[in-house]
Amino acid sequence: MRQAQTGNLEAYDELMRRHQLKIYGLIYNMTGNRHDTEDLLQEVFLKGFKVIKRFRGKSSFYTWIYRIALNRTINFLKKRKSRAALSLNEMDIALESDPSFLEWRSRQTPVRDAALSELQEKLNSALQTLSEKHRAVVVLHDVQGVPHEEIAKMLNCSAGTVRSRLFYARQLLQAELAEYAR
Amino acid sequence: MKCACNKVRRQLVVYGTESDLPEDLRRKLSDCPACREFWSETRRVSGLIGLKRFETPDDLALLRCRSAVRRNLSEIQRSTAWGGLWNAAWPALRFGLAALFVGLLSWHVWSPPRVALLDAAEYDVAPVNEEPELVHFRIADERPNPEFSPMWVSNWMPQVQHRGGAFQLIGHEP
Repeated sequence: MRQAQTGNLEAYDELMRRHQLKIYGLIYNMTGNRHDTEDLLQEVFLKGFKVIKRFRGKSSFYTWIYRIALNRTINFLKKRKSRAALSLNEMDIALESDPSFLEWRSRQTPVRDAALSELQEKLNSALQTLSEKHRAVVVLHDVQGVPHEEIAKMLNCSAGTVRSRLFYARQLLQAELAEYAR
Repeated sequence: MKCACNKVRRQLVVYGTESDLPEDLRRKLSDCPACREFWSETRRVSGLIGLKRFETPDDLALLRCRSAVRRNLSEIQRSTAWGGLWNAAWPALRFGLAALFVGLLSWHVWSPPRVALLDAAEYDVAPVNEEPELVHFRIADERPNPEFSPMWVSNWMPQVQHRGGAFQLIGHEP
């Protein structure tokens, strides 16, 4: 970290390598478009390098770079007036051993046998119906598994606000995913 | 929905499994079927949304991003290095330019017009009361100049006067 702060590119590259997948996931789930995600990921890391000297270590690097990524992505989404078409990544094969996936599969009937790609698309479009702030909380908490106290630090709000947003977002998602979540 | 239920449900959303729940929330769930129903529904939604973590980018996408960032950062560092050199040299250069400007300006203001005395040796010493001699000289700048007059020459060189159509050193009578 300190080496990266002195402008050492190798050290910064190592930081990028460690955090790229998580930050990619955050941006991707916020935008729902992998081309935008690649552009934004580059911008976030470039911005991170430019301002890394100002990082004082009050929070972890991961919280700090997440905050940059979130702000950048939310600004991008505000500028992007209309919703872009979804451009999705492939589902990893490990999905098939996930308890939630197995539960969903077990509830499928021959009449309502949704394909995996259909579920994927439905999840993404449901997420895109949320406002940026609510989506950020859902992505960080439910997709990335970030504790809600940490999310509060990233979003600069109270833990209570995070809980409220999560509560409200889940209600909306429940309505959107009614046929899948029952 | 009772007020207490609403408050409990807002707290429930951050927990993943029942074993994570604090004792008071667990007790509430066992007492309230509606809250229990909410809990299982919210967990189901959370589980479905959680499946999105399996949507992973291909390795090339991440590699592409990182190499693009590295390329950009190398360029930034190179330009910063030149910029640093320029910034270091700029104050000295600026001072030099300012000094040169002031020097040129003062030379322009204070320097005499381009008049040169020829035969300077003759201008040197001529004892008083000796054989008077005229000092002959001419102006180097021979371009027509309306300001150039005997009076102007005398102003610049008080020891020279114009008498009888010729210039003469003071104290040297013809």
